[in-house]
Amino acid sequence: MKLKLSHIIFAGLATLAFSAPAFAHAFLDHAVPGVGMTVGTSPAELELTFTQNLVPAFSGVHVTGPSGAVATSKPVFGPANTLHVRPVHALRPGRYAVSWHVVSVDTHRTQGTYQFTVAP
Amino acid sequence: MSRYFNRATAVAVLMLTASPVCAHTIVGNRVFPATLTIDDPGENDELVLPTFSYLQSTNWPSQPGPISYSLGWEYDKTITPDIALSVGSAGFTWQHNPKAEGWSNIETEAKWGFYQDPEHEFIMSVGVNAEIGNTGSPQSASLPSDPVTTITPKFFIGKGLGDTSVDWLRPFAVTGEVDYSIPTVAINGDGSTNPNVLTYGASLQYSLLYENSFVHQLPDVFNRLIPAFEGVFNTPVANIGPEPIDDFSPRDTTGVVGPSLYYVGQYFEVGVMAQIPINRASGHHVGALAVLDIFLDDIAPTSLGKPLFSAPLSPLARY
Repeated sequence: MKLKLSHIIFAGLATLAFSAPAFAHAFLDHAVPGVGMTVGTSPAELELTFTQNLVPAFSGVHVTGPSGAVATSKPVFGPANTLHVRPVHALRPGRYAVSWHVVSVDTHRTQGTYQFTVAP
Repeated sequence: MSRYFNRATAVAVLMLTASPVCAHTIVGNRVFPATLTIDDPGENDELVLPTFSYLQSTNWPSQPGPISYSLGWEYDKTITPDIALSVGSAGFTWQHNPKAEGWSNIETEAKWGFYQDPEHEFIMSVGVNAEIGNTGSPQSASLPSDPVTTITPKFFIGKGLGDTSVDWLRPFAVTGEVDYSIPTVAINGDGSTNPNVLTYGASLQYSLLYENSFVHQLPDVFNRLIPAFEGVFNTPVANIGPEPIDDFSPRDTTGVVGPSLYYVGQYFEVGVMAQIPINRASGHHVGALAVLDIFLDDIAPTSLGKPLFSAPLSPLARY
């Protein structure tokens, strides 16, 4: 019985320790192009991965660049914590701001902005 | 005298090392971790099990004193999203040189987050803590608990700098706490006094978590870490006893400062800190603090981890 209890405790701690880090609030875990990064060519798409699964109906992205708003496709979700948008036209060299707003599956809303640079 | 000294030393060590309330808080895009020397400024559903502290005190004037190891605990429960109750204790203390051990008193606290500004990552809370006398080890124990109940009004504040326009400043945040402890018995049967104590502390945090999400993407190994520098100080301010000739002054401010590091995961947080005594009255050399904080609001968000009374969350209603 003691051994079983210790197994249960160990399994519980292991589950806690090795779970993919995330929060009840969805925060940006990583992006492509990366937050604050510089890329040499126009990215074919922007990929934003969050720490929680998202509610697509309440989640989206707005991109602005040197010439103002950047036209993008509608966001596509998959996996459930990742959002993709494709620029309609190739991005010219310059600094771009990506403003995101998402709602995690536990209904908390978060939003933020990051930048990346296209510098061939 | 020796017994009195051991007790006074133990109480001083517990005052320095006890971290009776810990919880992590999210305000806007800012995660305030459960810090080790002071409480974070928010309310949450969490189980802190255990807190660990190690510190060697000083025998007046400068000889190495008793070494204390403590394991504490705390449970926090939200009643509404902005009001929480907690129960906890500095727990069990093992003392060496001389050998002694005992349980600390039980503490309860009510806390109200009366102001939140998610856009500016700003939060303020107030609370009242009651350390209930004689709920730890009896007075006959080798390390008895404090027989006197102490009531402590508290104020908490937290501010993230994510709203500044300077990128390198945005991951920074500061938190602070000010307490005023009032023993319910001013003068003991033996004529000694129980002073009112002002406790104040602060933390300066640099959130790699924030930097990764909003400023500059980091390698996975770093992006859950929050390094900090923090400290807490205790200054007796009223009802102070006479100056002894062979011990530290009861008017001395004691405290610890030091670097700390927190890892914030999905369901838990781990924190460690090197606690550096600010003077001989505070300790003899560098000690340590550690905490494992389990996020019940993330593990059981629809049952144990949610406020007892609250309207259902709307996707657009609340951060």
